[in-house]
Amino acid sequence: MNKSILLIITIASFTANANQSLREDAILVEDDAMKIAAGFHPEEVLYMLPDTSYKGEKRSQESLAGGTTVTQSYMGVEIRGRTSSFAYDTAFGRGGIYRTGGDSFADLNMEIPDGNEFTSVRAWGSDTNDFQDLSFFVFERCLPAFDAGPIVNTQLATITTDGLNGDFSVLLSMPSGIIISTQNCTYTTRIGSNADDDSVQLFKIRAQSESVLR
Amino acid sequence: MKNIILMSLCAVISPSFSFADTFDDEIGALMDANTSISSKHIKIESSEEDIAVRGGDSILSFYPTDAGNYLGRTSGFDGGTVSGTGDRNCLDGSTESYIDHPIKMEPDQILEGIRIWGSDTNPTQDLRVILYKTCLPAIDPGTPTADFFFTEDIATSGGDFSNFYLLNQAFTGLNKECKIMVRVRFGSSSSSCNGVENISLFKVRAQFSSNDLIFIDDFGPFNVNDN
Repeated sequence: MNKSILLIITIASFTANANQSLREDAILVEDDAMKIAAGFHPEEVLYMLPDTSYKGEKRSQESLAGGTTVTQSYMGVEIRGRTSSFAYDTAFGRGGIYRTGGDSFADLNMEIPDGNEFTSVRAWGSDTNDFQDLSFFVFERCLPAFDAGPIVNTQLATITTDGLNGDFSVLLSMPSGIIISTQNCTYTTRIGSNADDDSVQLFKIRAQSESVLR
Repeated sequence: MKNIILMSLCAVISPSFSFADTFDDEIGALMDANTSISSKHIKIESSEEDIAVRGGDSILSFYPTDAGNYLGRTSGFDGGTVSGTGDRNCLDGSTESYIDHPIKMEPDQILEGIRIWGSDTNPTQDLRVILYKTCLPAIDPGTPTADFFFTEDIATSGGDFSNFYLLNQAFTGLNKECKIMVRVRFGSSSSSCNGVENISLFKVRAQFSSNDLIFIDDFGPFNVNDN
């Protein structure tokens, strides 16, 4: 009897851990509409951090002193559709793309060094559309280091363009203390838009991190 | 054809040049003020990578990519595989003939060259390889600017090939601003693939050396791409 109770408790503990964000202050998103807006199915596990709603220049992580700044850059042509129906074209043939139809979301897997503090993502593009914008979401996607389990997504930052200024360069600042764990997690920028012409374009995404002094 | 001749002429006359208002079929990019071609700098050798004669620092590193990892310049690319082992060809009816992939390199590295593996039994059409540097401001908004510094048709119909192209190319403006990209075109059409399924790309391997400019190329000249 005692063994059965212990087994149940143990299983419950593993289950809870498998569904838990790495970030202690992460809040489980239970609003299906919010999940859908970020390109998730309602049954998927999505967390948000308390301060992921702020936009852009709240703090400039691009001028940190000390440590080594590491940047990884990706042209628009390097993103992949969330599903294969994502259709795209190019206006200039210089690495930028725009959506022409199909899936409204595309993902970029960012290769950030393990142990670095993830500080920001900067995105370049063009938005001259009064009705459709380009949304960016940065996710940390984790699985247990060895055990089976669901993919646990934590939204680290988000921003949406406004279509007023043409060419844009927007900064998604990460909350402080996001230490990269490549053993458990991957890091993704998701791009979402319903525009289907070159009024909304993605040129480039750059991830930035800092080495951590130990 | 006239455009090709004109482009070649300009490439000889000036280090870089640009056209306005045309989407160039030879490199797959819009030819406006933000696009330049500087491929006249490139010297091409089909011999083995000759690294032993160079004095000083000779630490090499490589960045290989299977063709299966390349993505279409547009989603109209319909790619196939002959062997199922990472090769890529362009299937009949594809509305895109270009595929792209980055070369990941450190800011201080010199791109010594690229080796390209593939197969071509097509008697009339070839695989075209293009390298370009594409840049945006470090922080500010802007439109991508690109310099196409290498363009080569791999003219063969003899089956498997492995060609090395010595570039010896240093860059400015890397890391925060720029990326080096590989573009490959299947056949001679810039907009579709028909009858070129017998042309395959297997792999592209970029070869780097550290940026020791004193000793580079055995004290010989090297190229700096500052476009």
